[in-house]
Amino acid sequence: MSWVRRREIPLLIFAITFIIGCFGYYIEHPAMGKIYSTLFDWVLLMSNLALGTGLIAMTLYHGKKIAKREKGYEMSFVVFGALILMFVSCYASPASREYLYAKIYTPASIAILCFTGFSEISGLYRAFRVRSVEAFFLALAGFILLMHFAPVYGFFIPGVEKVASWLLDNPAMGASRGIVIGVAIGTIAIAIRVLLGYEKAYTG
Amino acid sequence: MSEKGGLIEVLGRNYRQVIWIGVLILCFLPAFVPLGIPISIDKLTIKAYKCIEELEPGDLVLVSPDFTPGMWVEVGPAMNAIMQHLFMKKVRIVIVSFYIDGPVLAEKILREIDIGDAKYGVDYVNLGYLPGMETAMAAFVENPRRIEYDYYGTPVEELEIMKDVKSIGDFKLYIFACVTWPDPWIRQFSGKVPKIITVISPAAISLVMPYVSGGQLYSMLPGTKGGAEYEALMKRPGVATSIMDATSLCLTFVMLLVIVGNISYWRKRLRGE
Amino acid sequence: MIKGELASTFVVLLVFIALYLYCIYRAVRGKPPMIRKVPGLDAMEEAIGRAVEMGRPIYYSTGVGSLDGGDMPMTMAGMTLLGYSASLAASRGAELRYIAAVPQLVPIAEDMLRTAYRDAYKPEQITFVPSQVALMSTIVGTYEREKPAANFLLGALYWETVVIAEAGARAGAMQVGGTGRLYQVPFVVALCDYSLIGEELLAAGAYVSREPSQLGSILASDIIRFITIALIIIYVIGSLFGVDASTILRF
Repeated sequence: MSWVRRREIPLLIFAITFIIGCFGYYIEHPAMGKIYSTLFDWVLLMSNLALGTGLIAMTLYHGKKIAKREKGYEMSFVVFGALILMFVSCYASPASREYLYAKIYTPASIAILCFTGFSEISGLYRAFRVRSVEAFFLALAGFILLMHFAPVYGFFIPGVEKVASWLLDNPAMGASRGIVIGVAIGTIAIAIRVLLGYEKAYTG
Repeated sequence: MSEKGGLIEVLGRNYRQVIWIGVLILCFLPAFVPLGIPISIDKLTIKAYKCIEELEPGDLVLVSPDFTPGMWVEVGPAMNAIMQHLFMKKVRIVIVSFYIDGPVLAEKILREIDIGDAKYGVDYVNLGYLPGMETAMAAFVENPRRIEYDYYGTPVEELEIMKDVKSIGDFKLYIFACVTWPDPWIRQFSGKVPKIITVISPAAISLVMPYVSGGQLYSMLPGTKGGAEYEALMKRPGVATSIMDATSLCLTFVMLLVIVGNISYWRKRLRGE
Repeated sequence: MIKGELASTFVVLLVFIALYLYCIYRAVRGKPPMIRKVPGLDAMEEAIGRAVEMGRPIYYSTGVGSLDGGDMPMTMAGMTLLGYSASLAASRGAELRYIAAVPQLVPIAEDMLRTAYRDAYKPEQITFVPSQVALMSTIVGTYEREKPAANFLLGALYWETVVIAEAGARAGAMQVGGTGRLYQVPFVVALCDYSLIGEELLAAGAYVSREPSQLGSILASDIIRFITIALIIIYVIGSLFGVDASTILRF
């Protein structure tokens, strides 16, 4: 096995960054502070590089698709066209970049989101079907919160706001805290398993 | 089969088409016929409003519009309202984004509101996008001067507003808008700035409430509803207020459908189908 | 040296780490704890069998949760189950397809599917979409066209849950969903045939692999959970008598 494919390398990187990150947070020492700060610089640098890597990967992927005339290759031309157009507009004219972003990209994104919104509403309709006692309580709580988010009900039925606030402040918050604590405990467990080399899902 | 029963059966069978057509009509209707449905104001919106109202002119406020253009309808109008208030209070605003679309959305907000005589670089600045999400947040908190150039490529040393930004403690308030898991922002900024307000998708309210009651978050605006309430407090009705008409109608429609769907389901179940 | 206000949390963290190390060590040395039956995980096998009978594909998604922060444990559990279901599907001759919305997960999934399917692996089994909105619209379209036999939705799920589960239900797929993210749990329960709630998902890796180290860490997590519950009860009782019991952990 090539040394770059060895699992020990990502594990070692994880271990070093974990220990610096963990101790840097708790320990106050000039040397530790400097290492902690340098680590941040590296991560920021790598995040910037990752954007570049993403661009290369995307170009290779779509380039290959066009070269092999794979299914839907026509759309890859659209990707390249949009990429070049956005890149050129950034340097040629900020006004055209704003136009592309505000008048084309933003409405297109909102339109796709709204399209999924229809599915979401029909999903809610199915989710609130009272099949059991638990489903009844889910539907009831959902109903009260729907009224809370439709401001007209809060105005005409003041009690709705109070009940919805109680639901959010008490049962929902209690459950939220339970989940937050559970996830925090799970995160420590995963971190330790990764540190010991038992958790390998993230390396494939 | 009675007429009513027939209708319920049809709705039960073809619910998808009925829902989609109904939602489409109810979304468009208020755009042509504004209904002016009244709204009630939540205590957290009042708390957020008062917090900004108490700021002194010249105070430094940090803002992160960390969402995608697709989510504009969810949180954008509320961000417009809150930013409008900040400019009216003549505080100094530093915008930094941890989402790639943030800087452009910040520009959109600045274009859509009335910034009065505020000058770029003196009263407000857009520092652009800092990649790395939570790590980037931690890095910014550790040293806000880590960013060397603003969104337009101007060195931050040349910007007057940044001369007073030495550490994260110089900011009086941090406002962030997000539509997902708000924990990263709260984890990194809580305790570092005196007050944090979030503009968040209503779906994430139950995730945010423990932080509000625990004091890590000062207040929150639940999406467009919060925006509409904020506009009502400012007495400047805007986009959020107009969206509320459609929201009220659509949610009422959804509630009706849930009732009809359940009647249809239970009729079938009782008949043993 | 240790920041004053963080001293107590640092000590608690060290105690918890020690507990994890002990439980993992104990399990690896031959005393793995027992784990209760999780119906949702057993149902995955049934769903794969259904896909073989129907000759239709299985779709798998881990949502938009990434490999960082609070999402990490859930995403990792989702990926572990992807590996499990892929090998199960490959051995039975069913086709499993994965739709990813997080780029970091693509090479991991590729590796898993390659290992499971070997020569039968096709690159089309993995689709990458760059955002949540794209994920939702891709799934709605794909499920409508391909009518999958099974839909697995396991990981750190955000509000794509309703859309994906609704698309799966409309396509008539047998659905297994699971997440630890609070506000998606009700939708998973209401829309999926089988669900894994919170810790059930995190324990899934251990359940399917029966690896002693994983079982050991689950035992440690449970002990910590009991300690936390005990502290909450002490705090509540203390509050009733006007005593601030939270000072126990302030030193």
